[in-house]
Amino acid sequence: MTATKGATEIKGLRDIRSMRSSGRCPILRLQSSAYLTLYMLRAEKERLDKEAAALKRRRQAIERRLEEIQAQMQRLERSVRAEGPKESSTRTGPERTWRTFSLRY
Amino acid sequence: MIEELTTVIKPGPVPDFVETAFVKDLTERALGYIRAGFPVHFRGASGTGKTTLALHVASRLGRQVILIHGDEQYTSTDLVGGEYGYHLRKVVDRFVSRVLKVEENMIRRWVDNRLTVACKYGFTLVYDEFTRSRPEANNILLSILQERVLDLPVGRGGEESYLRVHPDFTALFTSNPEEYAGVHRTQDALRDRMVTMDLDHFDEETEIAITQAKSGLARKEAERIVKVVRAVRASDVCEFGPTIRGAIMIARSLAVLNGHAKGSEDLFRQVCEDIVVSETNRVGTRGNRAKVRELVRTFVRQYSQGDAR
Repeated sequence: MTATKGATEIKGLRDIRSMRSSGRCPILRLQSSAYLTLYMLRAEKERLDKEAAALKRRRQAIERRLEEIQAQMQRLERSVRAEGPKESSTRTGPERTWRTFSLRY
Repeated sequence: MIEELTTVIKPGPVPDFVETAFVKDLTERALGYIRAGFPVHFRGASGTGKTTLALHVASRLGRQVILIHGDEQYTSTDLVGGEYGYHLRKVVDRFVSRVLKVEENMIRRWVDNRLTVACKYGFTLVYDEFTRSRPEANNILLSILQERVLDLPVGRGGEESYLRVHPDFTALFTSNPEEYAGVHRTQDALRDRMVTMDLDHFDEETEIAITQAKSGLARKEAERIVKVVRAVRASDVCEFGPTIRGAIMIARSLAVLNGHAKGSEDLFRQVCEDIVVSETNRVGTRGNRAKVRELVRTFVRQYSQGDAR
C-alpha cells in the first residue's frame, strides 16, 4: 500500500518561492507601510537565524554519532576477524547433539 | 525452513560376538577399501552375515550410523527429504485499541531425510538390501559416490540446491543376488562405483564358534549341529542350503528345551528335521520334505557315532 504524502513531505516544494517570500504583494504599497515591511523582514531573519543555528547543532550531533558508529564497527570487525570465519550451520554441520539408538549385532 | 531427523544409530557388538580370523580378514579388507575412498558392497545369499558384517565395519569406523533398509516403495524423497507440512504464524496486533493489525505468514516445512543427514554430517550410511529399492530411487547415490555432491530440490527451505558431501561420509551396501522376491537389478553405474565383496557361508570354525556363542551349548554339541547343517548344505539335494541361522536355531531350541545335540536323543533329530526342512524348502512339497528329513536323519546318525549312551 502506498502512503499519501503530505504537501510538506514533497521534496523541493519548500524551494518554490511564494508571493510572500518573493517580496511581492498584491496590495498597492504606501510609504507608511515600509516600517511594517521592515518589521516583518526582521522577524523572518530572526526566525531563519534560529533555524540555521538549530541545524548547525543537529549537524554537529550527527557527525559525532557517525564517528562513534565508525569506531564501534571497526572494533567489532576486528574481533570477528580474530575469532576466525564461522561456518554456516546448515552447510557444514556443526557439532550438535543426536539422539542415539543402540543397535547390537 | 529446514528440519532434519535427529536420531542416529550407534552399533556395537553383542558380548558373545565372534570374530574369528575369517571375520577379521573380511573386516580389515573392507576397512582398507573404505580408507582408499571407496564404498563397500557386501553381496551374498541369505545367512552369510552381510548385515552383521556391514554393522561391524560401521562400528569400527567409529562414526554415527544411518541405517536404511531398501524398499520397493522408496523414492528419492524418502532418501533425501521433502516437504512435510507447514508452519503457520498469525499475529494479531491491538496495541492501539482502535486499530486491528493482522499478519499471517505460512512457511513450508522441509525435512532432511536420512541420506542428506549422512552426507551433511559425514556419517556412515548402511544401506541394507539396497536392491529392494527401485533403481531410479537410488540414482541420487551416483553423484554422491563419484562427484561427492548431493543434488537437492531447488525449493529446499531457501537453501542451496547442491550439498557438498562431508569428507567422512562412507557408504556400506548389502544385497542378496539369489533373492527372487521384491528385488531389482543393480544399475551398472552404481555397481561400478563400489567395491563388491562376495560373501559365501562362513568357514566351519567360525560357524561352530558363532553357534556355541549364541546358544551356550558345549563346543562338542555346537560342532555336531554345524556338521549336520554343513553336510545338508553340501548335499545339493535341497532347494536352498541351510545357513548359519539354521544352526543357531537348532542350538538355541535345544538349549531352551533342555535337550542335547547327541545321537541318542530323539529331540535332537526332531529339532534338526523341523528346522532344516523349514529352511530349505520354499514351497514345502511332500516329496521334498521327505527327502530332506531322510538326509537329516542320515547325517545326525553319522555325526553322532561314538556318543556315550
